[in-house]
Amino acid sequence: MARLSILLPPFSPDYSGAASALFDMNCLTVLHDASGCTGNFIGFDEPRWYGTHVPVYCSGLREIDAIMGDDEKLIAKVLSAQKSINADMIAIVGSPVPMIVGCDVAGIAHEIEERAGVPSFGFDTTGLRYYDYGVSIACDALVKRFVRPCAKSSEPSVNILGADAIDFGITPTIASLRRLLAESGYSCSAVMPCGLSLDTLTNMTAAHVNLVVSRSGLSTAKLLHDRYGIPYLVGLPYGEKCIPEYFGMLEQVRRSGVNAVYGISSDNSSLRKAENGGGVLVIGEQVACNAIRMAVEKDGEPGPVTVGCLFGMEQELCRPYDVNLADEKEISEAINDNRYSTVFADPFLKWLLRNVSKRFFPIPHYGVSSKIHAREAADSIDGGFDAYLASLENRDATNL
Amino acid sequence: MKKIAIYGKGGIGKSTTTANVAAALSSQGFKVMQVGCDPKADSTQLLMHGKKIPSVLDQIKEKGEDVELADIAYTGFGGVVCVESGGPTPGIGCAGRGIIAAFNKLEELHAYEEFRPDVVLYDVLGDVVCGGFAMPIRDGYAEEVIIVTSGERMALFAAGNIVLAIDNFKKRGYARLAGIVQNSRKIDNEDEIVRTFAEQAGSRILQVIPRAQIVQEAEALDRTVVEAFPDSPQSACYKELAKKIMEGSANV
Repeated sequence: MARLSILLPPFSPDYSGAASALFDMNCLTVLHDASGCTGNFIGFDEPRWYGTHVPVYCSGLREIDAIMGDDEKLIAKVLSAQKSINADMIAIVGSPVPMIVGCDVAGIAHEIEERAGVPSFGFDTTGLRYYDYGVSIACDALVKRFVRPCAKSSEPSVNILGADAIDFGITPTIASLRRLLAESGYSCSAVMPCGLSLDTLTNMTAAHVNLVVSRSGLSTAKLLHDRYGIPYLVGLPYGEKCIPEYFGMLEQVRRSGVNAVYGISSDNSSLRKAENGGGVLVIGEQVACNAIRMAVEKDGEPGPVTVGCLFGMEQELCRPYDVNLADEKEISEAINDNRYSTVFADPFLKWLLRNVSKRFFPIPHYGVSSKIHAREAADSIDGGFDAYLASLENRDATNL
Repeated sequence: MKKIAIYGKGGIGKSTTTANVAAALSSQGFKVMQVGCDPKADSTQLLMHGKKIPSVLDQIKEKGEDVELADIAYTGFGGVVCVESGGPTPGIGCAGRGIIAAFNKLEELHAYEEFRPDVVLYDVLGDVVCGGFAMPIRDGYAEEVIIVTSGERMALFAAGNIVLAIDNFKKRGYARLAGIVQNSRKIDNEDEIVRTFAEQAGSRILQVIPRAQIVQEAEALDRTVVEAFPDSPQSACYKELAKKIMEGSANV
């Protein structure tokens, strides 16, 4: 029962991540479930769902189908839908019940591809992992299937990886990053997965560098590095003072071909362990948290800043003393730890805060609080985060 | 790496045959890995000289995320890497899901990359009873299936179900039937019965293993025949099967 959530909702799961990653690909996406998981995805995890006509369906899995393993029923439904939709690709996305009964989603996709004649994918998502894993496996599958070697762009060019809707919600953060890139002389070959098309996907290897803007993009960056030798930079420039350093690093990666991570090396106090109430704790997705840390440090924060990873932690993106917060108990212990006087986290996490004298800065994340706080999320790039910090400094953060 | 799943009715002699083939292959210089896919977790006992090794699922239950490769893979006779997927106590839990969880753990711990076996033998319980028990013949695992059967009606019935499952998976590009091993029970017209079955399945008999007391004698010593009585005709029979498997003559 250690992983029981009492106050927090379940965070966005892997099947939502996979379905979300395919949202812009004209993909007939079928969540293989009874309807609850599809409801989660379209109702809470995918900010772009309402008002769109993206073909996302529920397989309508029923008890007898699960018991009998009636794959043909699902295959027939998908083939029938594809006749009228004529999608460019098809995806079967797993959920907890197919996982329990050992449903062969990859095999089903193989059969569908044979019969429908369009590329088809089966994702073994289970609902037991977080959205970032789903985004990763879907993006990796797209890269393996469609990306081809092509000539390098004549001007400096990047792909943006990990730009998924659950991490960036409805904020214009990625648009701002693209504008900054353009101002610095970089073109953008592909943004993945939000805004991706088959054309940009196929020609991703034209880019000189992959920019990884969330943990969900790291696996794809490694895949493109291993297959095509494209180096990657992990990180985001939150806060105006970070921008020169960030773009300096990007240029260095482009010229040297050596991968780098922005936001983990520092010569200031934050390499110290937080002690005696002087520390800052930033909780959330690891790459965004690193970016917030850099912005806060550049803003003059004297105390150590520690990142608490909500959806899993990559060692290569860590500073010493960063922590993985695997469940509500660990989140609660960290958020109430007396070593930290200031906490940045999704507003829902404030429910766990017992000490009202702590400063709590809300950073909404769609994978935690969904649409409830989505409109409060800031454009964190190009000074947006500085303005956000300044506005918060002028009021009592704990009353937010 | 050659990956072969060995299926057949419970009690027909799959584990004995598999362990003897593993021992024979190792004596021919191959690096072998044997994965028992049965909740009883006794596939590798002869290779481990009677020692019952902890199963993957028992270790996951006990150690959670801290399970390491050394906790689940043990070296048996001839350097054969022995793994038991394990499973729940009869009457509770879900054995099929257990096999999937065990296979996922082997992948997660990079077992195949670490041991780099020339041959992996999956010794799979009785029949393809649910999705989990078909896991060893799904994409990425065994490319070939060998069915062990006798001429007895129930053994042939189970073998027929396995052929059906393989046929069903053919459109998914999965494992193909490489052949039938006849583990003889000395019933009337046994050779003829099994040969007819193989023909009807579109396959052929790879090896006829005669019923011999020496198998029980070796088992009483907690050894394979290949180890305990290496110069016996029965040992030669297992070695011949192993040779056929590696030469690819098993392909139909």
